[in-house]
Amino acid sequence: MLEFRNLTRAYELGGERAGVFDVSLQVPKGCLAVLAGPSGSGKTTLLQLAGLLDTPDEGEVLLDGESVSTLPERARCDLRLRRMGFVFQAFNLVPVLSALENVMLPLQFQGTPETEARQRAEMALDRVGLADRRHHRPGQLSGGQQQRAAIARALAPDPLLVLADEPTASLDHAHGGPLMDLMAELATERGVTFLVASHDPAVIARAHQVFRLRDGRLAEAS
Amino acid sequence: MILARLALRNLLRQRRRTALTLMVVVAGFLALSLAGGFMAQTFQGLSDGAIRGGLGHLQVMPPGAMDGDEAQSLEKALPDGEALAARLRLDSAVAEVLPRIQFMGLLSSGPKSVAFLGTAVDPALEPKHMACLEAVKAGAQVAGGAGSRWLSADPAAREVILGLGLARALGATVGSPLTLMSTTRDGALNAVDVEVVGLQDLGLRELNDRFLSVSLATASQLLDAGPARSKLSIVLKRPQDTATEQSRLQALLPETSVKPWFELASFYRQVKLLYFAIFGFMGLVLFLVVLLATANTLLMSVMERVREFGVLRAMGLQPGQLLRLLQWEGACLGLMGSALGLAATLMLRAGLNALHLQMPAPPGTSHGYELNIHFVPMVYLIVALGLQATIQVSALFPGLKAARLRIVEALRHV
Repeated sequence: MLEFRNLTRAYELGGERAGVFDVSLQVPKGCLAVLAGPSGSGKTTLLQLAGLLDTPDEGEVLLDGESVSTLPERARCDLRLRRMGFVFQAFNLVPVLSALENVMLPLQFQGTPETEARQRAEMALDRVGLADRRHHRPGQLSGGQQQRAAIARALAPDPLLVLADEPTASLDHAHGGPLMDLMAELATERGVTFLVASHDPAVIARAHQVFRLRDGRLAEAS
Repeated sequence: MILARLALRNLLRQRRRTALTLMVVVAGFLALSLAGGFMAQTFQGLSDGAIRGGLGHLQVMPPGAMDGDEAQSLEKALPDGEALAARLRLDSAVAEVLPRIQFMGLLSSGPKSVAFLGTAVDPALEPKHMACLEAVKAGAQVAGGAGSRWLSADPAAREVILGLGLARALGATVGSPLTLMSTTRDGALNAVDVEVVGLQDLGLRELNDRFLSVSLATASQLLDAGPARSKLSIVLKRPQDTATEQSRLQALLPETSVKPWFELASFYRQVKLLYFAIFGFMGLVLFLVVLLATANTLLMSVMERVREFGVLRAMGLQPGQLLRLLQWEGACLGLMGSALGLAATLMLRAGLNALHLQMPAPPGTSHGYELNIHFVPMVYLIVALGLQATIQVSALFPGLKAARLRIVEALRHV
């Protein structure tokens, strides 16, 4: 479903060359895959390349067998909007919108009629256990609830691929574990592919597939 | 509509900052709208003064009447002005035609003689359409003006109404006997004894010092005018049709020159130009202040939301849509500012008008006037559109800045 072919993206960081180098891997549909490794190993860079937020210096990203890394900006935006979902470490919900409105946002950007968007967003919130909190703003939700709302936002448009960058890093163990259980369930239940960047053992323990990175290179796949 | 809703919510995020920016927009709207209402009052006062001061809506005169002075009385005249006036009165668009003779000469009171500019009018028709009675009423208030009245319609009466300055120069009061001297159409010197029946305040010092009014019968005797008239003032039934009627009547009377009042009222034109220059400059400064204030607000808002913009872009929002989001924020600011500005304008206008404030006499005029800021919806619309356009321009730079953010850098922004 998702494939990296000899992917290289280099940049200068503190006078040293960093990034990812010659990474090739494949993630099948419905899989919860984790990019594991210490800080600076290239997890986030790889995630950004997968999410078409950045372009590789060399190599290519393939989505369902189609090379997408060199698409023009408009097409990349459209792909992100219709086929991808994002979950961030700091949740990044829009603070002036309620949980429900946050989840409706990508649907409305797609042009989904308001009633349908509301219905689908309510279903997504219900699925992550936040139905009773849908009218709360992010500031009125706990960290775990905000991250659940972020997952609902990523899932509401029925994406093929959800990219999550350290989704449990801002949560304690009591919230992080169930959140990963939820992701694993959704991957199996809906056939959504999750690519998660994390060095959290609780996340790695729940992964269907783990890619370990070291100094920007793929060190191990299991 | 999601962008519009998001924009509105974003403005409410920093309420104090938004309120301050709105105050600038409201102040701009208020200042420009009140200035527009004041200008409208001034222009209407001046146009009424010009039209009812004797010009009428249109004037029919001989060709070349405006090119230089006359060497002798009625040198440039409509040879059979009375017949032409009678013909024009039959026109369906014309309410009335007021023939006039303009002449000059010397006015004597015993050993004293003063040069004058005279206008001869129809004493019966003139008060129905012109402001002559108001001028006489004002003249009755000053020393020597007690008992002032308008000219008698009796063709045998030989009466004169003097400007205040002219009466003062001669030491004349109501009831004083004077002698009018001028040249006839043939160039012969002639004189007519007249009685002062009133003083008039024409509003302009220079006119009051030189101006007098007599009946057409008195002027005809003095100038041996016969049916000749200097010009005809036309009062239209529909004043708003002045421009079209001017073209039509000019085509109908090719041997004459038909001029609209606004081409002849040079004082009106000069004041209008001056006001446009003054208030135009003031408007420019206010628009600049609004531009800078809103640009600052929106730019600060963009700088605080860099990560949020990164998230929106990651979710698939196009750069152009971010630009539109900022345009919507500007649009909301403008709409709210104009709505509040309109409310403030209407309240302040009502308050100021209720105070019946007396404005000082404008330069060159002899009396002040009461402030009455007009209600001018077109001015409010123009100001609102101008402010809206200014704010949309001010939102361009912050919008472009947001649209050009690199997503990966925006997501790292703290």
